[in-house]
Amino acid sequence: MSELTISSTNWLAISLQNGAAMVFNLNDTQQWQYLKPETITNDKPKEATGTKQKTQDNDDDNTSDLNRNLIKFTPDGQKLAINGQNKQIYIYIPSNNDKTYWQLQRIITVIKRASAFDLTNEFLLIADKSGDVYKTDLSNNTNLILTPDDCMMGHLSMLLDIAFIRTNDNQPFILTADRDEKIRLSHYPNAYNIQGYCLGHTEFVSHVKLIDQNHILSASGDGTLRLWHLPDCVELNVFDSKIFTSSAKQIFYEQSSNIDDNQSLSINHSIWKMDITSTTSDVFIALSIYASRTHSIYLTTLSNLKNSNNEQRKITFNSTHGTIIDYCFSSKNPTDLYILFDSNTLLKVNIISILSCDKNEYFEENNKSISTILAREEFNLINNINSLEIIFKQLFKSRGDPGDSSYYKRKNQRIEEQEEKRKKKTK
Amino acid sequence: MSLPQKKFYRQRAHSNPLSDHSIDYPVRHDAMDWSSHYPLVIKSSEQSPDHESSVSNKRRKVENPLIEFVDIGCGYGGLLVALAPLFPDKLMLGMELRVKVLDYVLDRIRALREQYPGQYTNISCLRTNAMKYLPTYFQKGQLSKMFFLYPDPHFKKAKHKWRIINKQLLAEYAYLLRVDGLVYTCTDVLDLHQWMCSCFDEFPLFERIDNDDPVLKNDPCIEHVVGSTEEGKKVERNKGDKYLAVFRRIEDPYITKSSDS
Repeated sequence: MSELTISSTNWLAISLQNGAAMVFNLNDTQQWQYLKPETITNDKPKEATGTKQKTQDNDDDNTSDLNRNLIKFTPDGQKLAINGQNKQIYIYIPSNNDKTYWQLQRIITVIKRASAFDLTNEFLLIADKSGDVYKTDLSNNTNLILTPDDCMMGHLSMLLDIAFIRTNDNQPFILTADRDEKIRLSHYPNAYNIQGYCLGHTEFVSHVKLIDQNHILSASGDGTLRLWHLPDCVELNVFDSKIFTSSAKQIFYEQSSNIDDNQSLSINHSIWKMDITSTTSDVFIALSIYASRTHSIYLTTLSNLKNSNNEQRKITFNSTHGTIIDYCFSSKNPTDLYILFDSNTLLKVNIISILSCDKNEYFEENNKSISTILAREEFNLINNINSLEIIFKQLFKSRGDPGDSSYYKRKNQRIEEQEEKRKKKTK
Repeated sequence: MSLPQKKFYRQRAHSNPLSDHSIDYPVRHDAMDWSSHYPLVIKSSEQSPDHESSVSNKRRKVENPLIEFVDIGCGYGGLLVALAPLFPDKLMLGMELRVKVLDYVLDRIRALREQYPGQYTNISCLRTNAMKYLPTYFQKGQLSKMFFLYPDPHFKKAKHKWRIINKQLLAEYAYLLRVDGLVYTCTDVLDLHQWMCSCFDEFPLFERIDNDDPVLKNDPCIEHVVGSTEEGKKVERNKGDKYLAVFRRIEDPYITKSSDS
């Protein structure tokens, strides 16, 4: 799916099909640019002899990703990293000419397609589906092909999210979340030294978000958000989505959903997407659950969750906007939430107004200039929600019959037969 | 109960460690109830506290002992059974992915406990995938010894990532082992031995202990590491070579440039 991200300098970027992207200056909507990747003829990284290229197609097809920070600005807004095609990551920097606002600085070729990445002002961390993490310095400006030597660490599991954190005693760490319910905290740059694990989730961990220097919030397929204290990896709170979604105050249009919310399938309450933002007063959380992923977003604050005061809101959008593609908070104005729909509409809502309102009020602001540009034929949002749903479902573990029950049956039979033989002998 | 006969427990040597095996594992190490594994040693949380112990302050706050030795891929349990009487106050755990083989070990332990009451209560075994779920069983620095005896060599290059010793997993093993803890590896496949040694040598948190080092000469585990397992005995019979390599977990040599140093 197309992803949305906003820099600290108020540039908004949207990833499009084929590794392309659009950038808009929210300060001046006259400034926008379509970023189209150049076709590069450099050699693909040498695959080990003997490995087949069966998975080549799957890797190149950028419609097979989960939303996971695959378009991101550096914290200072001076670089933009986009996960492209053919195992390439594009790095854009502000342009030094008058014709364009952003220009391609370099291309990084990875060994395996990235599943998540995180940026600091100095370096880029890339996590992939086989569980490896690579690092590359952003100070270089030449194209780079990553090698296994650039691999800092790895899980033996698919990585779903990655975040760099500096704790309050200035200790740097890398957080990695995987499909096997684990969040690992590793030292940086000596990532071979594991500080600890945040264990508690019972399904894959899809998001890890930094709240402050010592706290993170994680979201999982098990339908919970968990607050952790670092670096000791202590679980402080568990917030169950079943509880806070059932008591959320519904505002805006009541969408008569095609999905039966009464289904008790556990997947319905799993967290589909989450974003957070911090102000001095509180931490705001926007999330969607699987059951209402296409039209609704839940909004709340961390203090609301801790106090269980049922002040959370559920916004359901008018079906004329279409399906929600992605949403994110603005870095510049943290209480603004931008939402992108597949009808090429970009809406902005203010989270504080919503959290304080009790009735249906029309709060959305439609950024018409951006919507009009996006609607142009040549710009194609990635809308592959069907394949995304399939990928999402596959992350869940099927804890079925271990298959050894037949062995135990036969064993018990054998033991019984031996007992009978012995009884007969003693008679 | 008599000792189990291996012919009923034979299973193919190779198992894909990367597939989902529907294995039960705890969410966290403190969510695991070990009392069923070590019945005389570990008190389960359901057993009520001893009210009479208010008299003796020593008895209060006796925490359950923690597992210290782990045999990854314990096979038919040869090492565990050999080491149990040598370290009677240390808890040891074997991990095995193959169902039948694991069942054999459990039956063997049960039979031994019956035949020698009060002994073999410090060993047990469970079915798990050590490559994926190890950190869920133990806390940081809990283990003092880890054994990787005759691991599956996975010869083909495409299968190298299935090898139990690799760069990524060494970080997990280093995390679970306390500083100065030991890793014992043994194999009859020279290629695998060299691979394992190079993985450990390149990994900053381990250093090799030479085979003639007095530490190893005085270590009672060594002869069992080499000879007490099924695989070890098989190699003996076939007059194969045995390559032993022991590594010590050391402090992180990386010096952080912190602002308050």
